Amino acid sequence: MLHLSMTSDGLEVGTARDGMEALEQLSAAEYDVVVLDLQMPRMDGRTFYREMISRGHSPQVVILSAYGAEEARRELKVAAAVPKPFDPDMLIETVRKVAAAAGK
Amino acid sequence: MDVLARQAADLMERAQAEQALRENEECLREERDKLERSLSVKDEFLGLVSHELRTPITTILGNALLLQRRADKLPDDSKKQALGDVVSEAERLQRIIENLLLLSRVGVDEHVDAEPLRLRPIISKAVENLQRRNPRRVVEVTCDSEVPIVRGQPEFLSLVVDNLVTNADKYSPIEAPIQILVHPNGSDDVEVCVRDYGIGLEESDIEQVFTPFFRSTRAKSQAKGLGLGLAVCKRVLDAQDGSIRAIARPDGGSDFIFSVKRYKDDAE
Repeated sequence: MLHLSMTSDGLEVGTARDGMEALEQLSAAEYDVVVLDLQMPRMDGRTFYREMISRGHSPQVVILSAYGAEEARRELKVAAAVPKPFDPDMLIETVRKVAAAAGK
Repeated sequence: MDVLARQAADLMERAQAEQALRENEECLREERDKLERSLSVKDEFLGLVSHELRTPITTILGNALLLQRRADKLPDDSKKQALGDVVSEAERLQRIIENLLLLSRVGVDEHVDAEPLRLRPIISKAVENLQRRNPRRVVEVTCDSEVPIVRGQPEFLSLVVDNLVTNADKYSPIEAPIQILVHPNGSDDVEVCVRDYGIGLEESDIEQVFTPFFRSTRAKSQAKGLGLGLAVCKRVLDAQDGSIRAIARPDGGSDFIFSVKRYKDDAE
């Protein structure tokens, strides 16, 4: 749904089912913004975030979560948080703002 | 001497007071640790429930808004995919809600009214539901043609079979079949075994898998879930004089075997 919403709004998007896949994708291509779900199988959002930073990647991050999105944003010190459920257009707007603020 | 005795008494009193204070501090520390542990469990539980309930709503709402606002710009296959996601997530939410309601409706050690019913149509319906959600999954049903009529509550037994095949589907690779074996067991029972070739079970988890909200480490790493399905199976089977057990097969995968009572007409 997110992929479809974002691509139909003109964004270029890659998707990953979990943190491990996301790390592989980050090694293969450069992304301006990562929309990060905290609860994922194999590698959760927090672990992914820390691993991503330790590997030297520094995209802007928007956290998505059904519980504690804002707390996680403060804890990880990332750009934005969007609690579930959300309007996809609102998420897209947040992604665009975050990218623009970082000069992307 | 009096002064010395008084000083000794004071010292002793002070030592006792300090000891009492230390014990109080220790008690407070233990209470605080207990509270922190229970808050962390509560937090984890709320996180899990929120995730399981809000994630399907996110998909349903998101796709509905997408179709409402941009249907004219989307290719047909994307529209079909979006509608398919709405249906499958609504069904997932429905299963979660049914299981939650059932757990609160049927208490531990409670009995429910049972009626004579045939297992075969209940199994066929559960298989049909699964294959509509996941058309690639092969499900083989081996049903003894002489399977007797059983005693049960149709809505509850449907939920049991549905939960077991849904679990088998969630926790096994798509190329592995799910097998359902139905056969009479002695003169009183009928057994149904739902067999998968998936992640299997740790021996240490077997007892706990029927506890509400329990999820094994393997299960957590494989798929999302609340840990309700098996608890509901046990609760409703217990309420109908049935039973359920889990077996970790040595060749991998799991057997979940439930048993229900044969229907015996009082006139027999």
